[in-house]
Amino acid sequence: MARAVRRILQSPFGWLILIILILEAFAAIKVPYARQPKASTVYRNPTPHRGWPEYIKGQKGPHRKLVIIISNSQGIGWESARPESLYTAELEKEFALLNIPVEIENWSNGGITTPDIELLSFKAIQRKPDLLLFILGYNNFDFPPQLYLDYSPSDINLLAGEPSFWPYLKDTTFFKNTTFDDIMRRFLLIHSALARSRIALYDALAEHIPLEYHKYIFGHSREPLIRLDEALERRPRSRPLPPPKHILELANLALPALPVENMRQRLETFNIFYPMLNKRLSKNHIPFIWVWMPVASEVFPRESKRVMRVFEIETGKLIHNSTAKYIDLTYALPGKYFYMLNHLDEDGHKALSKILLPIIKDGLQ
Amino acid sequence: MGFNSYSYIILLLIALLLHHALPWRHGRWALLIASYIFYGAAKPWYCFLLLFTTLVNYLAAIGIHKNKEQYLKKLMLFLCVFANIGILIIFKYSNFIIVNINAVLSVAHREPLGFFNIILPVGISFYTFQSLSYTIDVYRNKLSPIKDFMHLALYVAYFPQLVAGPIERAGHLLPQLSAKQRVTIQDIEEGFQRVLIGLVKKLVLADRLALMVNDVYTKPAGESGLVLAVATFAFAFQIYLDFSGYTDIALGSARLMGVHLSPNFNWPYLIKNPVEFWSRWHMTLTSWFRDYVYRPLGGTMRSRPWRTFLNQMVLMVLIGLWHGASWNFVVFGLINGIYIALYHRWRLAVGRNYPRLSKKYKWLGPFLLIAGFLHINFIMIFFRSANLGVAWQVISGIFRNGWIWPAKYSLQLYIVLALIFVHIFKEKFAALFKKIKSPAVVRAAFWAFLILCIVYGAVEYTEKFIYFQF
Repeated sequence: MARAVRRILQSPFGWLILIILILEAFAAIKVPYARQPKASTVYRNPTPHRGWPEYIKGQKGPHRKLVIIISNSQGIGWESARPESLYTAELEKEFALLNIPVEIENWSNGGITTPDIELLSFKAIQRKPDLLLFILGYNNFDFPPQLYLDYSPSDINLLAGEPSFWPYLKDTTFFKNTTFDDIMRRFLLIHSALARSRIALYDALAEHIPLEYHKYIFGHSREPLIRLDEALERRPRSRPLPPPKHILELANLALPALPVENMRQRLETFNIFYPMLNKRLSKNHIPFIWVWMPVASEVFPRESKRVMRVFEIETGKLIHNSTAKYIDLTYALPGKYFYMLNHLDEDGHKALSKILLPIIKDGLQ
Repeated sequence: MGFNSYSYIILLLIALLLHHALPWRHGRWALLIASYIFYGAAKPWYCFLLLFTTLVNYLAAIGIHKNKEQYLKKLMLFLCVFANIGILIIFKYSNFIIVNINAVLSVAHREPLGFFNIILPVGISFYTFQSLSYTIDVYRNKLSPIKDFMHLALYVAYFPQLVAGPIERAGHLLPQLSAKQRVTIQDIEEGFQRVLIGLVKKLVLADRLALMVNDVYTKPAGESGLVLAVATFAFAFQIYLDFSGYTDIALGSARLMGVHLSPNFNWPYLIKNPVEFWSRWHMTLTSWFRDYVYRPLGGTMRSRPWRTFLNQMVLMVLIGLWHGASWNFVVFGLINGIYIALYHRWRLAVGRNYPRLSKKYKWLGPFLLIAGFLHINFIMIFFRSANLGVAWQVISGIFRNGWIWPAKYSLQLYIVLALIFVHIFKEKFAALFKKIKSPAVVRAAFWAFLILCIVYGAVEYTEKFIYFQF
């Protein structure tokens, strides 16, 4: 034994393995979210606009109803609303005025995708809510991949950190078009705390580095992630309608070319997820409603509308065929409530809460 | 399959395992199969091209050797060169030729020709030249033709150096591949370290510099002169680190199998004259052109200066065109050729006084180094620019667009400055490197440091190796 140890220590490869093991152990113990998250773990959102919100409000009161809303960037007031003015907070106020004891937990996540929703549903079941509201939108079908996956606890990292979830994913498109290198990368993310610690490091650095530097330091832009205070500062005083020219230009550039093929893949993913979700929620006796998010119809690019409509029709059919409720709010709000194509300002959040109030009330009965 | 991918690491590990575990002959086959998998990973039909090139050279070499008549030998060689260069022209230069024919046709108001829908197979220039060197050496009686087709196939397709060199000579590589090599622990340690260094050069440094260079060279018109200048320096280092990083991985991978490939770089930016650059940069390509093009053309002829000038220009334009089918590379070659020719004329004029003059003006050394570095950066503008218009925008922009520095590119600036620093104190770094060799724990700590650099510093969306496109 002593001889074997001596031989190992004589070789630089032996020392290298020892050093890597020490680093791995250090990363596993010390680095935040380098540990594999478990289904019951509560994630704290280290960045204001991405990752898991601090959604758990503690134990549900004995005579109180719990509603969980899983929405997208609209639900977190991306660049345009303070947390206390979000429609989820407004809904709580409305219920309080009506003297109905309801707690709303806002589980929204910027850029949420179907796999995100699927993953959140697992956690939602554990909370045993009285109603679960899924807000579908752009992210369920649109093109932009999460370019900032690398240093935020986003879809892939979360899925990678949740091995129990993998069997559900293996047949979906989410993993179909991946290369061998993607698989290896995910394998490393799951099994190596050292590999995951890169995410922690980048996240910590990203907080202190101005946004415009990110592309040249991390290799890809983190442009969409803007701090709330910065975003509110940037927001024009008067409501821009139609939206600022540069946003329209960007939208027109990016969205007419929206690849239908990609939408099809996301739809396929949704088609695979949906029955599983439906079954799981029904089995756990959790009532749920699907809502299609409102968008600024006046300025929404035509091609985008067309693609979205296809998706809506398809998902609508799917949901209608099941027993779940499906409510289309696509054009429920006038354009004046929007700060961007699909992001509401604070008045918009108030207006949306008024629309959602009877829906939730109905759902709770 | 790039060296900067997990797939390559897995392939290399499997190839090494089979190479060391199987009996020698079977190990060779395993290497050959691994090489074809490596090459065919992107497009399997590439393998047929590779096989065809090997077969042509194999048969030509045997034909040349067997035939006693000189004219038949010449004919065989001609057919072989024609087939090899023909393939290269079809795949690499046909559309460039059509573009230029169409330009002439448009002047004559004639219908333009259609383009070929061809994808350039990676590394075609490298293995074509490598296999040609074998046949030419057989023709020159420097080598006997190899009888075992498998050995020649492995020489042409040997995966560590297949797609971006070094362009090996049959006399150097074939004996190593066709006889059993003893792999020492030193080979494994050196090889492993070299692979790690190559990955750091590519993934951490070259790719990070590329983030700035790509942006600036896409829209040079809007950038300040200082940004354009730094981006040009950054590109010079990017391409050096990219290519030398690749070469390090190639040399390291081969070393793990006990094979010693030829070095390709020797501090190419530390030069005092334009000729020196080409003896330090992509050395195997330069020596290939020197032996198989420049010398057969007549090389340097003291009595016929114009002929020497012409040979030098032909050589450099061909080197330029080897890098890519565009006028940029022609200009790149021409500028190099003019520099080299002028330098040559000056050396001839100075004649025997050169040692005395170089001693007298030794103090000029640092200035010559700076001039040499700036000269390289100037020619690199043509290398990087998408077309001559972009190159002109960069050159004129450096002097016209003001010297504002946007802080977002600061990291790239620091990397450039650090690399200049490394170049200035290269002896000190070399000494430090030697120290790392001694105790096992120091060496392991250095490797762990390199691994951490890759884990934390690698750019996520890595660029393809620049020289893969050639």
